[in-house]
Amino acid sequence: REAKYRDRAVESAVTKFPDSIQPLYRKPSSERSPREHQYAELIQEQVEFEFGSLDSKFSKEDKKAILELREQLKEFEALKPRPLPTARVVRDVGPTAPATTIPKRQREVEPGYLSILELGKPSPEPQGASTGRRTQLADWIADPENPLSTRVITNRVWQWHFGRGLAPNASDFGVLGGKPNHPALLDWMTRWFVDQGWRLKPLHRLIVTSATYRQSSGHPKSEDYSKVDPRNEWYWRGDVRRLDAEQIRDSILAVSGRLNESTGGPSSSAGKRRRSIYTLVKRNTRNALLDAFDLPLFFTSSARRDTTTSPLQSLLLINSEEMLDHAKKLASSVESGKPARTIESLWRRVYSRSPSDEESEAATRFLATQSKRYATPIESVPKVRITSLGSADPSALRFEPDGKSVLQTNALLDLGAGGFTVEVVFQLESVFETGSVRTLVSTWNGNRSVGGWSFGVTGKGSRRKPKTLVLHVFGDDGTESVQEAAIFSDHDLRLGRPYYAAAKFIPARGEKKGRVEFTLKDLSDVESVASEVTVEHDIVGAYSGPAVAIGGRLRGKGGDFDGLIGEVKLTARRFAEGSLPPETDSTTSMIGWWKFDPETGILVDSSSRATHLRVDHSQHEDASPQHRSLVDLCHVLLNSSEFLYVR
Amino acid sequence: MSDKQWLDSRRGFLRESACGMGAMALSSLVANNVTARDPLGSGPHHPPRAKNIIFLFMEGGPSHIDLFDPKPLLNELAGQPIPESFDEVILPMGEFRSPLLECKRKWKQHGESGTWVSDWLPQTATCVDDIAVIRSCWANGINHSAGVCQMNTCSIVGGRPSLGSWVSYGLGSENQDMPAFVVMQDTKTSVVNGPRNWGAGFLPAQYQGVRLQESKTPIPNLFPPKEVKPEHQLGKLDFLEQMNRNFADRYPEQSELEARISSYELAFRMQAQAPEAVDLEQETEETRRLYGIDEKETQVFGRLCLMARRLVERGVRFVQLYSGSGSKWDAHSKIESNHSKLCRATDQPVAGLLKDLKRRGLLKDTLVVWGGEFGRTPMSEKGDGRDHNPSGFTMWMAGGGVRGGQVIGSTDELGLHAVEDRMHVHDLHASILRLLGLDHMELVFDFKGRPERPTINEGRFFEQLVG
Repeated sequence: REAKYRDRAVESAVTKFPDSIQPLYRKPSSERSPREHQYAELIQEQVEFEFGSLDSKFSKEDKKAILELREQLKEFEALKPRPLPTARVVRDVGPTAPATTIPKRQREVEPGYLSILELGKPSPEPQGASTGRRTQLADWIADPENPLSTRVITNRVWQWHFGRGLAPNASDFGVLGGKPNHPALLDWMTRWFVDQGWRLKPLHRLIVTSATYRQSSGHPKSEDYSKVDPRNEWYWRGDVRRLDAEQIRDSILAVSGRLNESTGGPSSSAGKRRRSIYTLVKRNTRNALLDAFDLPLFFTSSARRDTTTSPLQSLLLINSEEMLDHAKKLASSVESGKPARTIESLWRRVYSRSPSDEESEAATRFLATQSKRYATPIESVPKVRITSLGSADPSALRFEPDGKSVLQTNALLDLGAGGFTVEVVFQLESVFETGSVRTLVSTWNGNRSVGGWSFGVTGKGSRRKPKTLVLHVFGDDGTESVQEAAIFSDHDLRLGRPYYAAAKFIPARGEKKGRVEFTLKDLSDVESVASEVTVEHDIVGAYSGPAVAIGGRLRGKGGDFDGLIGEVKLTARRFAEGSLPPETDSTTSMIGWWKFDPETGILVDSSSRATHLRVDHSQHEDASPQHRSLVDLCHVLLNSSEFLYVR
Repeated sequence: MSDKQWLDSRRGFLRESACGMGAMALSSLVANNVTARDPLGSGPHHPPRAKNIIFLFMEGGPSHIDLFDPKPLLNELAGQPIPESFDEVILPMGEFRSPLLECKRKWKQHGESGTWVSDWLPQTATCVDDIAVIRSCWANGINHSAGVCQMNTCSIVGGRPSLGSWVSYGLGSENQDMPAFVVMQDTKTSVVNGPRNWGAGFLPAQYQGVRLQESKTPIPNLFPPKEVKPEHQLGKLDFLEQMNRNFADRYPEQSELEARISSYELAFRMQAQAPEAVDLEQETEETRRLYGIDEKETQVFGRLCLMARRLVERGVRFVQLYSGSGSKWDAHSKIESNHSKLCRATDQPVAGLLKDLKRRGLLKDTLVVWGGEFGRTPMSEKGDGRDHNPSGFTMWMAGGGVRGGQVIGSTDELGLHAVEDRMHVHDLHASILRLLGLDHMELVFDFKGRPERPTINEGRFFEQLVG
């Protein structure tokens, strides 16, 4: 049943290419030249892209049937072996290699080794579907007698531990790269590494157990030695080095007791607080902290890290909500009621050492003066956390599924009888394991005999479809009693991706069915098209609900959202009085537009109705001046050079 | 501090690992372990004509054949498919054979130079004698992602430093209290590719562009959250400085520890400077009107243009403004309403900027560049729109030593391919760098043993721009 849609998708992708290129794709694979194979594969990517939106192309009948068939297939899902992890690999297109030419001179070149090493010419032999060139290159790299590759890797391991290599340039051992300052050591270590069977772990052990590595950065004769060797080229002391971006993030999470130490498996979003090597990296939406501390872009490989110091780093460390939040967590975990003991455990936690007497005194003094400053209380602030939805929306709120993040309006809601449209910009961090719905916006309090609606995303156990948009409406279906209608969009949502989603609800009227028009657009991909789906239903009225809740149901009655919400807009459709006019006569009126903008006020409704949001005040922390000054002390330590540098 | 002094002290810093206190404020701007060849062995490579640049990026691709490059043949052949004599190109939507779409604009020659401008840009038209229109631009990316990436980095593949990063790397900052490379956009929607358009690529992170917003916190995290009162913050900063000072004193040979202390001072000064730089209340009513801030349609981009002038005045090296961020100029359909709206939104502000820079004597030092990632096709799409056209499009430059009132290069009779004096993005960047005194082959950063250059060893300076 899907076949005809697949064929159409292929045509749609292929016919976008010029007439001269289309035949390449259409001819049998065996007849393609190596270069044509490369083009065909690229065209195939466009085809796959079209397949991605196949579900939205089904006719109504087909869609129903296909979804049913898929439902039936689900029964056998348990029998299926788990899919193997996939990775992108590069391979030859066939035994014959396309010609490689130098662009400007148009000169064709053959594979070769570095001529200075006088190793002769490679003679790759085709094997199966491969030219054999890559095998030969691999053999050359892995040859124990190769003087270059073995020294390069040994030097890089050294560089990793000392911050600089024995050879100054990690990737250029030629004339321009500079001479190694300890050539004999590099030679010896390289030989040793090859003799050990190319195993990296013993090499790491050799280095970190050496006397040179274990030196302190302070030296009793520092003053004299500095005059002879100010750059420490002879390794008479250890260097002071800043941690790398990932180490900084991990250290912050570790000392505040929040580091999720689970290992292995697929990557997770930053919100999961796993070690940075397990954190999903998006090249277009970078983590501000990692970015500020020189995380490479990951478009190409990077042989060494930069260490830059900029005011923007300092602003981020001292002013961001995120760092303040870490400081709060750290404070709670070291607080003991006794300042001296608290300071001791704080120092041990952050610096892995006890404070000196002077430091202890200074910290005690700081706590005392800062507490005095806090003695005059300031008004409490909502516990909601402002963050950014990547570039899709600069100010978004982080909703945690803790039952405490839900925001709601006070004013009594009246959506009228003409229907409504709810629009949301959001990014989902997780869905429920069950079929429960992560609620974006709701006017329903969980009571099935009361009207209202909830707009959200289905959980993994959904009977209909997991991770899809759903509008649950509780209202009158013409029987004068409150009935439930669950209306699904059947989109496939992905976690960690910014979306714009809208649901336009039009109630049923007489014989005419009501309908919901869903719109979904992936904001991370500007080339993507908004996908629109219309679904019918029978609800006629009484669906308004008493108030608007964002990030969960009214009064925190379950269905909590987990992720970021950047903007919510709610409009109602109004009809001219007294008549049942055709739909074209409707006008829309804004019910509320919440942008979570720290400038104009996080909870402010920017529509003329001024339906502002509020949080439950009972959840505000009411910290003592003593505790708040401890938070500040923790914040200072997380900003300090000693925390960010190794000695 | 002048560039020369900056360079001298910068080289001094690189020579001495244990440098004196005097250079401390500078060290915050210098990578500590960057193995770069000093890019400026002998100062700027050429006498600079421009000190600053304002790059007006019309994101999504404005239609050159409806704005600056009139094509009478297009209207003659409107409704027919493009003649076979025109070389076929790949179009993202595959509508190469769709009928040619007529241009509904009224064209006129303007100024003493008689440069052609359509009635979509009546205000820009009054500035043509200061503008060099380049009608022969071409690029390699057929979609937005590749196109915007190339217009910023010279490559359609991501990962290279943005032009603004190269400029800040090559010339440094004129004002330590402000970022050297600043980016602003007119809508909340992300520019295609997001912040990597102003990323530093393989250059050290300090050269990346900073996104600025017109508000009391123009730079992210410029101020602590509202609940943190100034006296609490100062208490923290005092104690932090004390701790960092003690640590730095223990390792006097590690100059970057001093740089960290001064980075907090710089951050503090930025708190004062940045909001002032974007405070348009300080401008007169007349100036605000000049930029169209008094009108609803032109207000948003007008404010960006006026901020750009204020930033340039304050020594910000590279200002990039995005109009229509999120590909709003991308008129695949309904080009009439799309371009009418965007031209209306930008025409007065852009003209206002040129006039204001000129009357303040800033235009001679400030290079203004206008353009998108590509132009649009003479063929129609969806009946009333135009598809992407990277094979021929228009950009213009003004100020910064550029000779105004001239038209450089041309496209074919339908505006599909650049024909005469073809100017690739490589040439465009090489020319921009040259106007700023940098040579695109001399500006080098050693990355992974490879001498990397801003235009990937391609491109040339178009002498005609200044001749």
